[in-house]
Amino acid sequence: MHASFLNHLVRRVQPVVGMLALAGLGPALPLATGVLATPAPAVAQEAAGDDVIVFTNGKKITGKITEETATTVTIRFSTSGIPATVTYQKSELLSITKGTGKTEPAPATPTKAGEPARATPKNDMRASTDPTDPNKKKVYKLELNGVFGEDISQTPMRQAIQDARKLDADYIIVVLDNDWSLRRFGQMGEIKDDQSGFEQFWRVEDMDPVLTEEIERQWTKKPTVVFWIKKAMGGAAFLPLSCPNIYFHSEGKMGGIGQVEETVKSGDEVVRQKLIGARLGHVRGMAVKGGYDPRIVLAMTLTDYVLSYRMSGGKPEFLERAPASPDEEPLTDDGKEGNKDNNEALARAEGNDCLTLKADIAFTLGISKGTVDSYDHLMQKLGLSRDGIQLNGKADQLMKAWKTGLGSAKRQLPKLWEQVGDVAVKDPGGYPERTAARNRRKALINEMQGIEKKYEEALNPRAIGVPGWADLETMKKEIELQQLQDKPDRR
Amino acid sequence: MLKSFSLRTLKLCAVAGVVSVMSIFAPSPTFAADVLHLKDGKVLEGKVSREMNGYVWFTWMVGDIEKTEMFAPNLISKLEKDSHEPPKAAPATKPETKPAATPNTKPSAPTTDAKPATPAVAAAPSASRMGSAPRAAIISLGEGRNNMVGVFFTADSLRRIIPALEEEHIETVVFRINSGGGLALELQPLSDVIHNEYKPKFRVAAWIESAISAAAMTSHCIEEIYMMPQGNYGGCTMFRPDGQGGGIAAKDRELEEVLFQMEKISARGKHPKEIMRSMQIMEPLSCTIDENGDVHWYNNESGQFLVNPQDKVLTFDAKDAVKYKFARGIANDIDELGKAMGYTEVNWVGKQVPGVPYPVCKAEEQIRSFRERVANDQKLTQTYFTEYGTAFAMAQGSPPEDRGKFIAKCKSALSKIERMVKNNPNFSFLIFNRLPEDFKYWVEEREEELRKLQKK
Repeated sequence: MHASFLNHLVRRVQPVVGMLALAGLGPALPLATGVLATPAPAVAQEAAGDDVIVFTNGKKITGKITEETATTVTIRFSTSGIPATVTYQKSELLSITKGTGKTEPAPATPTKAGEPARATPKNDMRASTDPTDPNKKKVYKLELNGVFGEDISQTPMRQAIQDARKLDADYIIVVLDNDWSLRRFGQMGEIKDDQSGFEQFWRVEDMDPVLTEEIERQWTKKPTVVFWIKKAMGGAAFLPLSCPNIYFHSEGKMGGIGQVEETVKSGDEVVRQKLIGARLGHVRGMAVKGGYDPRIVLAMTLTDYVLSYRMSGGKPEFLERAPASPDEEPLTDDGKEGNKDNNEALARAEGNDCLTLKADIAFTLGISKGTVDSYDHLMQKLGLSRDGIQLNGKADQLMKAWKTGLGSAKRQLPKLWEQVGDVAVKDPGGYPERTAARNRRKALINEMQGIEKKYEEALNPRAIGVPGWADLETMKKEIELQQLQDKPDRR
Repeated sequence: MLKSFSLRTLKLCAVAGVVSVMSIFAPSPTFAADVLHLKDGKVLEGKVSREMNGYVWFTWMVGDIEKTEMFAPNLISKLEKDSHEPPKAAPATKPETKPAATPNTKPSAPTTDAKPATPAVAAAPSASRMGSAPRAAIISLGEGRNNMVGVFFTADSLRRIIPALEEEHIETVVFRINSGGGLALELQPLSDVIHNEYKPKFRVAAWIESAISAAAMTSHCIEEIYMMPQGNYGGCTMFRPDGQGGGIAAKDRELEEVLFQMEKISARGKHPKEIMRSMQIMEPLSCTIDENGDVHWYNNESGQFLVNPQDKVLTFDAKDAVKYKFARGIANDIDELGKAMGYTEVNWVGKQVPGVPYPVCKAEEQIRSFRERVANDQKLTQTYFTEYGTAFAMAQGSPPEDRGKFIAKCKSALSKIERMVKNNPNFSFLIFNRLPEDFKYWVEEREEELRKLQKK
C-alpha cells in the first residue's frame, strides 16, 4: 500500500471545507484527530463596526456580539441571507475583535476554480425528512445503557457503528446512561459516587477503538461523534474521554473512578507506586487522546491529589495546590485527616477527595461543550434541529439483543452445567447407552462453550459458578478417552 | 508483571543471552577511510557501511574491537568520505538509496558521490527499482490481552521474522508496542536482537500504545520513540507477585544488577540513564531545557521541571514524553507516524486485514500467527497434559494388546506439547522449569516411558 501524504491531505480537507460552509448554524466542532484544516474564508463581508470572532481552527464569523460572559460569547450574524444567533464557548475561540471599523473584501460565496459549488442552506421552514436530501445531516443515535462492561460492550457497539456507516451517518450521538444501581447485586438503590469502578478502565481499552480508530480506518467520510452524558460512572467515565465533543444533561455526572490507590494494597511500596503509576499512565493517555488536560483525570482518580483552578482568558488554568487567592477555586483536596470527606459531604455528593464531574463544573473545565436536558435541545445546540435528519438505525435493537442474550447466557450456563452432571446412563446401561450418555455430555459441553465464546468479552464463567472454556475442553478430552477405554459388552 | 527465577537459571540465561558487539559488515576497516563528525564533538574514523535517508551505519575500531553503530541524521555534524577505493573492497551490489529529503535532517553525504557501498549483507535494492518511497513495516509487539513479554513477544520470534523482512526489502521497521510487561529474563535477549540484529539492517523505531515495565525496558534500546496520543511508557520496577495484587520488589544485589543492566540498555538507545532509573525505583527526576533546546536530566528535584517526584515511579504519558524530548513525536496513525519520522512519502508494506489499522506485511503475519498459536497453547496447556496423563494411566491399566490406542493418544498430546515449546521455547522453563536446550530430554524421557509401556 502506497500512501502519499498530499493525496491524504486533499481527501481529508474537502469534507472539512464542506462542513465549514455551513458555519454559523451550530457551534464550531473540533476536527477529528489528524485532520488538517485550511482557514475558512469569512462568510459575510465585514462592515464598519462589525465584530469578528476567529476560531482555533481558523474559521471566522462576522456579525454583532449580543452577549458575552466569562466563558461564552453570543453573536448574531447571517449566512447566505439566513439570520442566526449562536452562543460559542470562548475555549473554542482564538480571538474576539469588536468593531473593526474597516471593510475587508471577502468573496460572497467563495469558491476556488474547479471546486464544486457548495450547497448553501435552504431558507425553508419545513424540515425535510428526506434522508437523500444532500443539505441534511444524517444523525444516528446510539444509546448506551445497562451495566458497563456487560450490557455496554464492544461487540454490539461495533454492530451499531457498522449500521451507522451503512446509513452514511454524519453524526453519531452516543447517549451514555450506564446502570450505576445496586440491582445487579440484588439490592435497591444506587452505588455511591465515592465507590470506585476504576479497574474497569481495561474494558474501555476494548471499546474505545470502536468509536475512534475503527471509524478513522473504515469510514470514507468520517462522522462527528458526540457524547451526551446522563450517567458515566465507574469505568464508563473513561469512555467519553477520547471524544472531543461532550455535552452533559443537567443531572449528568461522570466519575466513580476514585481511590485508585486502593487497587493495590499489598506488597512493597515501590511496587505499589509502579502498578498505580502504570494504571494512571493508561487513563491519563485517554484524556490526552481526547484533548483534555490529564490532571483532571488525576483529580478524579487519586485521593491525595490536590487540584485547583482559575479562569484565565476564558480557559481554566490548573494549579496543583490548594487555592491561594480569591480568584482560585478548589477542585480536590488531599483527602487526609481533617480534609477527608465526612458523611454530610458524601451524602450530599459534595465530597472533594476525588472529583466527580457534574454539568456545571464539566462546562467550566472545558470537558463539556454545554448542558442540554433533551435530545431536541442537543440537536439545536449542534445546529441540527433544522438541518439534521434522524436515521432509523438499528442501534436500539442491537444493544437490546446483546443485553438480552447476555442475560440469557448467564441463566442458561448454570442450567446446562447442572445437566452435564445429571446425565445418567439409561437402562440397560450397556455400551450403546454409555456411549449415548457420553455423547450427550459432550453435546452439552459444546453448547456451553459456544455461549461462552459468543459472550466472552462480557462474561466471567467463574462468577456464575461454571467452568471456563479451557476447563470444558479438558473435560471433553477426558470423555473422549473414557469412550476409547470403553468396549462393547461381551455376551 | 515481571517474574524472577533462580540465580542459576538467570546466569544460564544471561550467558545464553550475552551478545558481544560485533561487526556484521566486511571488510573490516583496516585503514581509516571515512570520518564522521558528531554534534557532541566526537570524531570517528572508520568506514561507512551503509547509508539511508540520512542515517549512517559506521564501523570503526575501538582498540582491537570493531564496532558498528547507526547514527541518526540529527546526531551527525558532517561526514567526510574517503575518495580512494580500498584495493580489496567487495564488489558493489547496488548503488545506495539516496537519502530522502526530510525536514529535520541535513544531508550527511554528498548525493553526487558515486562511490558504491560495500556491505557484507545484501544492500537494500536501489530506490529506482523499488520506487522512490522507502519501504517500511509495522511489527506489533503485544496486542489486546496477548501482550506479555517473554510469552507473546520474544527474542526468538523477532529473530525468526528477519528473513521475511529482508524478503520484502523492508528498510524501516516500526515496532508497535502494546504490553503491560512480562518476564525480566527476556529483557536482555530482546534488547540484543533489536540492537545487534535489527539496527544494522533496518532503521528501527518504536511506536508506543502502551509500554509498561518489561515492555518499556525492551523498547529502551531504540533511539526513535514515537507515542500514540493515548500512549504510556514506564513503570519498570522489577518484582515478584505476592499473590494479593501487589509484589515484592527486587532488592540488594538483584536490584543493583538490573539498574546497571538498564544503564547499559539506556546507552544503546541513547537515552539518559536518569530517566530509566526513575522508572525503576522511587527516585526523583527533573530536567532543565537550555537555550539550545537540549535537555539536561537530574535524579533530584533541582531541575527546571519536576518530571517525577521522590515518592513515585515514573510513567510517561504522550504529552510529557514529547515535552521533555524523550519521544520524538505523537502519531495517531501511520500517516502521522510517517510524517513524524520525517518521511514525505513512505510505502507501508503489506496488505489490508480487517480489524488491523495498518498494512500487514509477511513478517507481521508471522508474528500474529505466533501470538495466536501461543494464546491457543496457553489456553490448552492443561488439556494437553490431561490428555497425556489420562491416556497414560489408561494404557497402564489395560492389557498390552489394548494399549496401542492409548499410547497413540499420548503421542498426539506429546507432539502438541513439543510444537508448543518449539513455537515459544520460553514455555520450556515457564512450564517445565528447564532451559530450552534441556527440554528435549524431557521429551526423550516421555518417549522412553511410552516405549516401555508398549513392550510389556
